[in-house]
Amino acid sequence: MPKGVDVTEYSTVTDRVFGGEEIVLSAPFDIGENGDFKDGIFLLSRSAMCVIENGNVVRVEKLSAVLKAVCAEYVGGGMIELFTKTGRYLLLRFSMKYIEAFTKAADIINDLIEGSEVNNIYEDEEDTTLCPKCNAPYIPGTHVCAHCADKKGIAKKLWTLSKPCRGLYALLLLFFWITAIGAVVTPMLSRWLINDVLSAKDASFETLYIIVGLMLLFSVITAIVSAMRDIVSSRASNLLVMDLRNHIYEKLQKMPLSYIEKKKTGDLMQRINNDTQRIQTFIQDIAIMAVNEVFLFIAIGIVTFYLDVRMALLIFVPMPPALWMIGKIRRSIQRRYRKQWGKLDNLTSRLTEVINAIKVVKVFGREDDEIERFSESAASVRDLTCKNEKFVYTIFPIIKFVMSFGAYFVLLYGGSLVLGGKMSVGELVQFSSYGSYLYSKLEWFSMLPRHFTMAIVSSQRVFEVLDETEEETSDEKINADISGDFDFQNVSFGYKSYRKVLKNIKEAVNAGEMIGLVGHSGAGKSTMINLIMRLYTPDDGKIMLDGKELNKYDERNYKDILGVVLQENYLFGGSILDNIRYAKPQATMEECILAAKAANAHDFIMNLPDGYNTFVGEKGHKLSGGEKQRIAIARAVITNPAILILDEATASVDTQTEAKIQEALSRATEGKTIFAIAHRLSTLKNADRLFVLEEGRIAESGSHEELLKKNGIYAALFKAQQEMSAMNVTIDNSNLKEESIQVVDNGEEFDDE
Amino acid sequence: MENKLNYITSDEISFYKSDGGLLMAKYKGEDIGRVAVLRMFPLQYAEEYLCVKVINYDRFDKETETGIIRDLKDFPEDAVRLVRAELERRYFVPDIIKVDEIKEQVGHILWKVTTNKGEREFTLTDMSSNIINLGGGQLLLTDVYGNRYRIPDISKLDDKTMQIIEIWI
Ligand SMILES: Nc1ncnc2c1ncn2[C@@H]1O[C@H](COP(=O)(O)OP(=O)(O)OP(=O)(O)O)[C@@H](O)[C@H]1O
Ligand SMILES: [Mg+2]
Repeated sequence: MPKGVDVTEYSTVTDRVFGGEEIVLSAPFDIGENGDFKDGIFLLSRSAMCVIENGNVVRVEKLSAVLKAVCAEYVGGGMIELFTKTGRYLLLRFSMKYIEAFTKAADIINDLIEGSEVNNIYEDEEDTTLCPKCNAPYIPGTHVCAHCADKKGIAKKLWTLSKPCRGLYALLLLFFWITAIGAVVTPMLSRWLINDVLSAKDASFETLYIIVGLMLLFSVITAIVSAMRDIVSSRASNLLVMDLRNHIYEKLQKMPLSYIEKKKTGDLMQRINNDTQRIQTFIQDIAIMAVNEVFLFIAIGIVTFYLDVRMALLIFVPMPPALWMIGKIRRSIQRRYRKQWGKLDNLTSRLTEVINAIKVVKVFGREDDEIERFSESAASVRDLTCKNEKFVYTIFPIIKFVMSFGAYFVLLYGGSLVLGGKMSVGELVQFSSYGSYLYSKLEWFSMLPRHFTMAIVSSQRVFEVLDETEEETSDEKINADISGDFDFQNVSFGYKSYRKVLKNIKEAVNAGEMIGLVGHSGAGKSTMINLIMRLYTPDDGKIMLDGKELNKYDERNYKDILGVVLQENYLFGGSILDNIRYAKPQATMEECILAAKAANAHDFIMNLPDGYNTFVGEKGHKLSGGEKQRIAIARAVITNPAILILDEATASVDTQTEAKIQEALSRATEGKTIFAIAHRLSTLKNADRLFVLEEGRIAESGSHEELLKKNGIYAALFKAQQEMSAMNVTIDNSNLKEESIQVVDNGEEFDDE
Repeated sequence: MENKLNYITSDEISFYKSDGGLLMAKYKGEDIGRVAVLRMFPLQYAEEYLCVKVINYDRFDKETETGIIRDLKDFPEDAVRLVRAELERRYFVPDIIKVDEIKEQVGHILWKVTTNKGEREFTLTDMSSNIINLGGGQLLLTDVYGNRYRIPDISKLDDKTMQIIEIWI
């Protein structure tokens, strides 16, 4: 099905232009040729295309006249450029909203021109940011729309989640009830006290004692219950939050990398930390309290209406407008504070950045500038804070006033009733206490919708992770001995669906072969390896391993025979030993030492006072780049993997050490399939075959000698590097003047003899 | 390191438009075909430091830089016109003239604005990172899709617009 707009609306146009031919693609666009915003529609059939702007056909092109279509991405938008027999045309322009659609459209046009089967009509909604139902943006970082979210579903899930703490929640509700009873009963006692004791002529001391005693009792109970309530509440909260966090963390570990990479690290951390926290606060502080307060409202409502309808109306009628007003003021306060927090945030991140990069700051002598910059930011935070504070201090008395609104009406009207002898003083006091109580809660109620929304958003963000399907695993999981025969069958891949990084890779690799991947920086070498490691799956085509699809292998089965040294090596906080046996925790000491020796790491480890127990990682001993790499190599070879992947594994070691590692590795890796990336081409001389990647394609392949003979890209690269190293040798020689002089001296002595 | 930039003078290059409305050029007497003009400092200089490049859609790494236009104002009028049109296409950043409404919705903020390119609605998510202050009253907004909008000078906005955006910026 063609995605996008309903084309029936354009039937007159389509009939005229396409003569009734089927439309294979229709896509909206939004910029006209002159750069103004337009409502545009692009229609494509198998033989023609048509551009409509604001309902008018502005361009029609027969496909037979077109040689090629190119989709160009610019800043804030892009365009489709057509190559025709007579020249180059601008077909249409669009904003970034439609970049994906038109990248795909250009592909389809080219497919049609080449006469290949058109089967990839755009219908992939993976990267869209708008909800297809109501067109509102999704909750940031998710594919969930807050409007269309299944709110009942969320409530149900939350209910399920609260399972372990339901008992505690019930207890909490009970505690809330007890304090609520206090709130209803105390004003009754006040009335009793005033009417029957203070203003009664024949009041007995006994009644006074009873009433005051009861009042005391209630306040003691309230105090005790409040304390217990807080204790229980914090227990319940920790239970729930920990549970939720564990769930998400566990889930994230099982997600495909492509999913995690699409989210920002900060976003994921927020889900694990803040969102769970918010859910917890909501359930425990808001939801339970809300249930309680609503009951209380009803209870007080019944009591007051029973006592005096007009007085009750006086309390309740001004409530909605007051609620509305408070809500409005609240929101504006909040907005101001959000701005302030944003600034503070910037300040903090700048600070973190500078402290982390303190070396760079000092090396370039920029301390003073950094101080100045910081104090400027700090000043702007200060100014904003002062402004906000001023605003809040003026506005709060207003809120207070609004909250006491009802009370004035009650006093005025009630007072006149008392003066007219129609009401007792005690009743008036009781009413006005209820009034003040209810109005004091208005502020809290005005925040309720916000709390609900926030809870919905947070729950969505959390549940989105929890509901995400884990790595695509086929039903049959292959568990087999793997020898390492690879076959790339037309593999294409891009990190973003509209920008291909690898295009139509077709190569077979035999078990035991060493393959060197070379090419310019950014050519796609690491990407190819990412596919082999199964961190991503190809968009098109298949990678076959031993004749079966790579993805069908059981995850564990495959990873066990895979040894990896990555371009960016990460060592975990822990000892060198821990890091070496990360992939094989049960490895013996001997195995670890052998692996370290194979990686030529043993000697430098032995020079550390704590040897293999040296603590490394973020907070530990600072290792050099080459040292880290060698530990990573040891970590890769310890499992004796059948497939070894080396991405610039020896880039940070000197040539001598590299030669040693190479020699050790080739001993350790006999019969293994190796994929190695290196910029230093001499490293890959021993490779059985080299794949030269260029622009995402394998441009050349063959052994070092074959490629040199071919005199193509590889030969040029190799020659350039040789010249470079020859130059370095000359520079080295000039640095060694002293030595050369000595040699000359020696020579002279020889002569003398 | 080379120690001189290859600045193009107005008599070395002449621009023309293809039949299909695309920018082409002749450089030192030779027709170099479809060229791109790129801003080297897009946030600082609109018509200075422009890089002229021969486009090659098949091989991006084979694109060659012809040279640099130091300042467009030293060029003849029709060259200026053609280059401006090309820049407008490559840097589609409408100027916000008036803000009609800002609406807060769940997790995002909807802006209804009038720009020099017409009316537009767009959504921002994180206000603090998607509104960049370029200094001198200039603001750059980036919406959820990566489209950009510019407020050329915040102090020149009308009072009503100021009222609307004040609490957000
Ligand atoms: N995680 C990612 N998300 C988006 N784009 C990426 C990602 N990783 C790499 N790219 C892009 O894909 C292209 C190929 O990158 P790749 O890492 O495969 O290059 P490479 O050949 O390994 O380069 P180098 O020799 O510098 O390591 C580059 O243009 C890069 O910007
Ligand atoms: Mg790489």
